[in-house]
Amino acid sequence: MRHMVREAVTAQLRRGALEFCVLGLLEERERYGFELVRLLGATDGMVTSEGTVYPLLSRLRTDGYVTTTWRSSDAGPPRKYYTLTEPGRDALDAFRDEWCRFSAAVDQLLGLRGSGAPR
Amino acid sequence: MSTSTRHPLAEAYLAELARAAQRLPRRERAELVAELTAHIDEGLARATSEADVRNLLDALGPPQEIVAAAAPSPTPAPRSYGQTALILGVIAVVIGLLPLVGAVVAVPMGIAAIVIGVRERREGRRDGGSTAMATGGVAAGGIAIVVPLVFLLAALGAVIVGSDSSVVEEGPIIDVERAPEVEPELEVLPG
Repeated sequence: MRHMVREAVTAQLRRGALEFCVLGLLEERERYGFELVRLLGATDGMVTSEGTVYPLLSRLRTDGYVTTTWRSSDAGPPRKYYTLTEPGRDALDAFRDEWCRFSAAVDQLLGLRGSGAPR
Repeated sequence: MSTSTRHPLAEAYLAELARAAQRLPRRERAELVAELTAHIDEGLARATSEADVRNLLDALGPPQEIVAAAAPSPTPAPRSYGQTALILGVIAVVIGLLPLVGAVVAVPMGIAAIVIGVRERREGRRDGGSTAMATGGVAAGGIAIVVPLVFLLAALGAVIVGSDSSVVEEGPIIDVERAPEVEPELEVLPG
């Protein structure tokens, strides 16, 4: 029963946060598709089907949060690199603030932090 | 472009992806296929065994799921429009069969069925749903108005025809009125 709840809840939470997690991974430097997908996949509970990250990346591009360039690589096949844009940076910062506030509130209500949390 | 042959499992996956992606607009389809092909080729370059290849493809997930994520959000399933109008119209038709009272109730109900039905038809056509029920409601509403009115006209006609036969009934009354005229003659004779 707990396992069922965990799956359903995680899916919902993931849906909202995943695109901003991608933006967060791009904050320091550009990354190519395979690299991004693997990083996300390695983080517990972030993706079920790695392939679905690509449509998400596509939407980030149409939204103007990332730009893409194909570059040939000596390591093998050409790679599509994703770079964070200014609007993307703003969106990431905004989400970061919002997430801190939101998770603090949820923590408090779940009794995970703070004194005087109502039960 | 890489000319080396891919692992047959990877080729099968890409073939399935190409099939599933048919439903996407051309540009989205091309983009998705290119990205996933590049991803798979990256993975294959690092794979050292068939197990690695299987893990690579399993981790990607089913092509159907990926295509579904890429497809634009589906519009809600088109519903059938005009259920209210149809029910109203049918009830109006049935009530309209009742004498006199039927017409009084059925005509407004029929009008309502038509109004609602027309509105539902318009909505249905705009949203791409089925308008059959709405059309049925309009038709039933029309019948519900016409049939009782026909009955009503027929009843009025019967009443009018009935008043002609009452003219015939007056005949004997006139004869009776003439009768007293005969009597004065009788009275004169004895005098």
